[in-house]
Amino acid sequence: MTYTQPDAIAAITRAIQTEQNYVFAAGLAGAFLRGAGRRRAVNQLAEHRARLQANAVLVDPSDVPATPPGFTPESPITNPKTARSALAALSNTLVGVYADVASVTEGADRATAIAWAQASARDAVRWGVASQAFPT
Amino acid sequence: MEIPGGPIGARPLARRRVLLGAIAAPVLGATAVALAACGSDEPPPEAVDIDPSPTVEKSEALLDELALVGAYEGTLAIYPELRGSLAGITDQHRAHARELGATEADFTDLAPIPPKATNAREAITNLISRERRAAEQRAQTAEQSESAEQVRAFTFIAASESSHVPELRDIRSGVSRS
Repeated sequence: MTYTQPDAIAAITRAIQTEQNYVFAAGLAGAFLRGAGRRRAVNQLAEHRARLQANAVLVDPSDVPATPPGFTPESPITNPKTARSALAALSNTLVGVYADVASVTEGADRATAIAWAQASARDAVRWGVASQAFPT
Repeated sequence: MEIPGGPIGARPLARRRVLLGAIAAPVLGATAVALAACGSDEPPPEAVDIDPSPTVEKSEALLDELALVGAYEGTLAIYPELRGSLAGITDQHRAHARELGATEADFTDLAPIPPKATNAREAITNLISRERRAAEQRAQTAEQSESAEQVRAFTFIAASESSHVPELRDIRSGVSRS
């Protein structure tokens, strides 16, 4: 389904932009991680790219934001600790992003958004932060 | 603890009221209509307004959140050494319950639910099962909700409860088997 309401376009566009940031961050973080953390970051690259594509088909192609040339994390990723912390923060951001997408979509699209909100909240914990009642 | 605002715009309504109104409306806001008994010669039945019941019906989700708080409290009563690990998650369930309309009296009246477990690890495993089930149920409620506010609120709660599963697994891995 293609969503044309402004609030739906805004929510889905933000999901695409946040996923673009996540893909950049996972790539950058992967350079500082080793072992299971690195494997997780690499696996998540594919997972979040797939989400990007799935989100893009929910809106008109003209509404899909272009991939930016680079990404500046909110705090620098310079070592394993900051790498994990950045991915945890972005994962929690994605919970709210997908809660918004769920609220403006329906049917299978909503179910997918809810599932991704849940997966993102689990990812945040796996990247080392404590769970939250309302993840942000 | 409040559900964070998002990019979609201001959400001025108190979510507790939104959720309560939407889920427990049959008791809260409904005006009951009673029909007078009638025979064949009697005039058509008349609608009679009855005052709404002062009792607030608790939604299934709220009852389940309260049960989760009870399960954590029951576990902590028997395994107090887990308090440092589990207190935060218990508080999150209290926040979820408040979001769904719980009052302080609901927490005061709450009876701890003792775990059916022979040790702390097993008790945590039981909590993991409860969390997994709760996360699925809240996700289903979010899918079926009609208002955007409800969808959003239940998605946040479903996500939080889903995140408790890996957190509890971590906690369990640090607990001895004895």
